[in-house]
Amino acid sequence: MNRREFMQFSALTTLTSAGLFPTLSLADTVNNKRRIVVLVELEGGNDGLNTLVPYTDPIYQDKKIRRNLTLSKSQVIDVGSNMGMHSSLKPLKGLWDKDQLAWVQNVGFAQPDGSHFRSRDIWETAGTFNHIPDEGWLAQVLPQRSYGVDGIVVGQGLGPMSGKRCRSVVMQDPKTFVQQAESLDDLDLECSNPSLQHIVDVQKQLHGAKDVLERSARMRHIDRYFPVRRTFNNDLRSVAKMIVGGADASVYKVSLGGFDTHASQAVPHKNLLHYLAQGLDSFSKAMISSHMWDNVVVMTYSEFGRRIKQNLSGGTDHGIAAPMLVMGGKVKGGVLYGHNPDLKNHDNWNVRHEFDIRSVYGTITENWWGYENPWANQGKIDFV
Amino acid sequence: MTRKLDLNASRHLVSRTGFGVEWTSVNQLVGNTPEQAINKLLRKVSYRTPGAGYFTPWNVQQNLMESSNSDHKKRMHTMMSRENHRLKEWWVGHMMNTPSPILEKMTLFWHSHFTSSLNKVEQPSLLHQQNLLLRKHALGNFGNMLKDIAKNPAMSIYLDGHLNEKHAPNENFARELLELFTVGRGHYSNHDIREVSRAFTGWGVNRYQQRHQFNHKDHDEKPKKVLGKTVQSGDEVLRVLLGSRHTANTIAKKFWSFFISDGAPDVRYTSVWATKFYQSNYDIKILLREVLTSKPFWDEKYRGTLTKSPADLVIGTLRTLPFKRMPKKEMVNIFRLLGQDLFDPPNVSGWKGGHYWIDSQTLLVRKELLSGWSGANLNTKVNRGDQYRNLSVEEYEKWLLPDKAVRELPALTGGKPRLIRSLTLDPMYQLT
Repeated sequence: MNRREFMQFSALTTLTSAGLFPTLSLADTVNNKRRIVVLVELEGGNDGLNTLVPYTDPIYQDKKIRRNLTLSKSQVIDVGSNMGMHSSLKPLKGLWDKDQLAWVQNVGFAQPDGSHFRSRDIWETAGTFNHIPDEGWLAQVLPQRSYGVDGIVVGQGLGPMSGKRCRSVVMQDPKTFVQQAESLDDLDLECSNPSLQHIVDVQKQLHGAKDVLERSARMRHIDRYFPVRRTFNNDLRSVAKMIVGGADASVYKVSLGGFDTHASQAVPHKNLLHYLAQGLDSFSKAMISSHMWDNVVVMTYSEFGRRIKQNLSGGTDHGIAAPMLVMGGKVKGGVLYGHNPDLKNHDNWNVRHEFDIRSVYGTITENWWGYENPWANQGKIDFV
Repeated sequence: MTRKLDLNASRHLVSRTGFGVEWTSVNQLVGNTPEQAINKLLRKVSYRTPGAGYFTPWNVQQNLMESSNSDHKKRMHTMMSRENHRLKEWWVGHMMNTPSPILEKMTLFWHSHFTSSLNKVEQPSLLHQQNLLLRKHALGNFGNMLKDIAKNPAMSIYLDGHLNEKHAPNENFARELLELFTVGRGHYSNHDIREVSRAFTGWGVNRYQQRHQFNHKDHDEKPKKVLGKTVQSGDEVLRVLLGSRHTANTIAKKFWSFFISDGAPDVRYTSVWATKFYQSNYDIKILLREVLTSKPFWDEKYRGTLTKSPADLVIGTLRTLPFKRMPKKEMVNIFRLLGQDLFDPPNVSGWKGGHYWIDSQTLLVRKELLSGWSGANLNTKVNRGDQYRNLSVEEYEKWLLPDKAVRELPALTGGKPRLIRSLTLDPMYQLT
């Protein structure tokens, strides 16, 4: 029996073990033990070298290269292997120590061209320089369903969850969402006008999502884990409420903007990483206390890293590869996957990519969800 | 096409070139040929805009920004957010009242093409200045607009051009100039970007006087090679870019998405438009006429295949129907919730438009807005649009919707407000 046959077989008999095939198994939806991915997009291209820092590398410390930006030993949290996390990430140190946080280094894709838009398209669709599929990568791996909601974006744009096969919604927060969706009627219609069909489809999904989110809108006990009022924290709080409230989505997405630091980068970047860490810290605490931490993988991504060499505006221009942060109760953490960034053998002052983004997506798809991995030829990284 | 415009065709032309389908505007064009109607639209365009109010001078703002006193900083933030908001209200107000909606629509088009944001620029007077520049050229010459925009202070700050110096090249402006503003993806190399950024070194900004400033000592004098041609200055780069037919193509395709349909541009037509545009030396009116008299523009299969932008929906509805006007301040917030925060685009590529206007979040806001408006009593004090008393259900449908309603419409015996509510809440109302 090959893999595919096995999956079909298990669908018929619900023979699945411990939630390996979540949406196919009845037990899963009942016990509320879904396997969830939370994507955190760092918009603009995060400076990976000042996030997971090769602080002992003489090229990194060379003042001619990163004059205003190099971080010294006291400005990083050592994580071994001559690498350190930016000190702003301190709230996450506990998770690293507990082996629940990992870094996948040098992730990128072939033929990068430095465009925000093209790069974002590639990240969202698992595409390549020459081919951008017309649906997001999640639509390509999640099994098709006719009920509930597969993906929820708190913020703007469906991004990786776009595509007809994915039942996904965008919202500001679940409470407002449910209030507003109350008045919608259930419209079911096939039409030849694609613009009209799009509206009808969105309305249909809203109607479906409303029912599964009604409970999440209440979950007020989650508020205490999010003492800081900032859009990013509020968005993560919404995600936490939906997860704890039993929404059946497999994937959530939030984003933090401002990483396109072409000028005077040091202070704003430090602040951004602080916001990121604070939000993720709150989120992990909410998950741990709700016994959902083992069911969640949080993963950051950004359209590209930044140049090894700073520009003279005190910022950095668009780069290539960068590290991704992965955390969760079942993440094989306390590990740096891949080699340290090679600053010597650079590509026009860019860090070359070691892992293709599709190997990260493939790992999530196969190891975490147990679905068929369309990118198996790219290899896996086994961080989960 | 020589056929004369009927109600359907006339509402089509009006809604695609302006905001909504004001009864008088639609009726004025019925019985004209398309050419006559387009001439009428382009004839007396009024370029006048109301005053935008007071903007705090840069030196005052800067003193407060750099002050170590936290009260000063707080005051600065309050002041800035007030002035930012007022600028947005200014434009929304003008869209509501202008006698030349076609000019505002085109200004909005260019705002999404040559875009900049208050968020990054942090000086509202400069965004106001940029808006006036875009309006001045909106129906004029694209080449002249490009030359002006390259020296526009808001643009230089938005894309870090003012930080681009000989010993510290910054590629931000160069990249977007090639990728988004002119030739487009696939028609330049990363090497071109570096060369273009060198050509624009020294193009600075004087924030106090709100003007472009060329800093000779920061300029890289050495020759550069751009798209295979040797140039020295930024002006020469712009000439090279305008000399490429790909630039005309970029704009022609954008016109398709703005005037014809959400679907992919039909290159059989856009390439013809691009050629005419290129041959006219980038005369925007010539391109516009070409589009508005083209076969696809009038082809019924494209009716109702363009998603209304928030401006189309909000301004268009309020200009068309006698709903209760809302304060400008509230309108600005609605624009933001609908995903078209004026002067604060999501990123340098502007608003994606089309299907992207509608996701689960914005569809909810759209429905709620229309439900609120159409559920309230019609405002009899507003004269606009209230001259349609004796229409049949079919005529109302033809006037207010681009194509047949999706849901069943109530009979007129249930009252006019009820019919109009049904029409505006129909999914077809989201399209034009």
